[in-house]
Amino acid sequence: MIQFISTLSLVEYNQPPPKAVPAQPGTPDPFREFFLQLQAHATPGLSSWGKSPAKGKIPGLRKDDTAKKQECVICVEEKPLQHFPKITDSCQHPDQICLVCVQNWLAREADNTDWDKIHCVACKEIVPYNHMKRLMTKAAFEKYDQYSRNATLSKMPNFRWCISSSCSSGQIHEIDTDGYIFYCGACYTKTCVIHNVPWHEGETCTEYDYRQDPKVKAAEERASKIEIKGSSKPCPGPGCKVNITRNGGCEHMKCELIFELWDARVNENADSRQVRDVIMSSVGSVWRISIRFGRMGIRSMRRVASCTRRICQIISIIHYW
Amino acid sequence: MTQKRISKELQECLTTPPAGIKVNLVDEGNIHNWNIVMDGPADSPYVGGKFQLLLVLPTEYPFKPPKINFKTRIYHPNVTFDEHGSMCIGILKSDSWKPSSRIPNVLTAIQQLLLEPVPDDAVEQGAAQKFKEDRKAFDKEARDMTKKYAK
Repeated sequence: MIQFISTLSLVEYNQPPPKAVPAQPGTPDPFREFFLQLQAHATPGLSSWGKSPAKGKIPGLRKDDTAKKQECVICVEEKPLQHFPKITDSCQHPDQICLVCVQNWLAREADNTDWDKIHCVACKEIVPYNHMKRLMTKAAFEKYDQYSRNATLSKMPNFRWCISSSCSSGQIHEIDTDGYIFYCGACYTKTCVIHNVPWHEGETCTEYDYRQDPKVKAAEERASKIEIKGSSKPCPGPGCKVNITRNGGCEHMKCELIFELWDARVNENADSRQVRDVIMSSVGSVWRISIRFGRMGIRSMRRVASCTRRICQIISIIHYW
Repeated sequence: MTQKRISKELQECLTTPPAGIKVNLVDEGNIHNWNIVMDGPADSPYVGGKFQLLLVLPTEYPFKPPKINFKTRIYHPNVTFDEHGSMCIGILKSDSWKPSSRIPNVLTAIQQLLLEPVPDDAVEQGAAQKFKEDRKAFDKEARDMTKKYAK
């Protein structure tokens, strides 16, 4: 499921739907419901929602006697009473702070605080969305609206932003159905949702991890060395120091490099236990070696550290019969 | 806006400062840095001492609280006993600061803190412990330190 939400504003979204498109009760839109819940949460008891202020009036100002003046307790400027707005419905203090100071405060808070934790400049009452809209300057409110929208979207499960610095789009991405690659619907950037990086073309996530993390690499190398020491022994063949191990079958093993008989016991079927094939492949500096033995053809695969010689470090040979 | 507010508060503090407090500017050209001289309040072990404080008003004042440090060393649970003299006082914490608070309120709050330390919100644990467990020893130490540093 992919939904594109790149230019939607909460304000736009919250406008009543045009009458030509009646709501269809049979097909609920979870995304719209989410926003409606948000609106209900943010605007309790709101009557003037969505109404733009009449022209010529300063939004948020009281209609008291304009001749009376009082001093703002913040900027200490004398201003008419109507310049001192009530900030929230539940504020208990007198309105002693002018609109300019309230706007400065709210704009600062919007930049520094979560959108739903912004409180009144004079008390700890949280200023709800509708009052922010009433009090803030248009530019500041647009910014705040964007913050609130982004914060709300970010909280939605499976919502992701495009990681491209030049793109501000985001969409729902469910790994189960959409896979590990996030295709941005706006700029078509491909993102790995596991690593949150541009998609690593030609590599699985595991391979990417391995290539990216020197610590993981070093730890794996160390663990391998310990494992080799404990579970294998060097081939006794002259000049051969390949570590070999046996995990089944009879006690007759052959080192695939020199084909020396390791076990002293003579076995009649020695020929059929020869190495069938050695397949080598490299991923970066790491060799993968698979060796098949005898008729059963069981494979063993191990990773080996970087090689200078062609097969200098086969770490183990698993012998099945 | 900030300048007007600060000038007005400075004017108030210069003409009618709170009792036991003198205010002047560190540098006449900069109204953001104030020198405060606070008398040790009577009924406190700091009586007779003159404590210098530095008050710095941030550019975001009054939306951000002023910063105040004791320049004179003081033995007090809520003031660090070092060259910084950092203070822990509720009114100046950024989450409880109100832009409508005034500097005279802050200064009287500091006087109040000298009268009544808050050992549960201490920055000098040793002093706080002594204050709680042995008030007489605390008072003596505070008096001695006042004589030593705040004369």
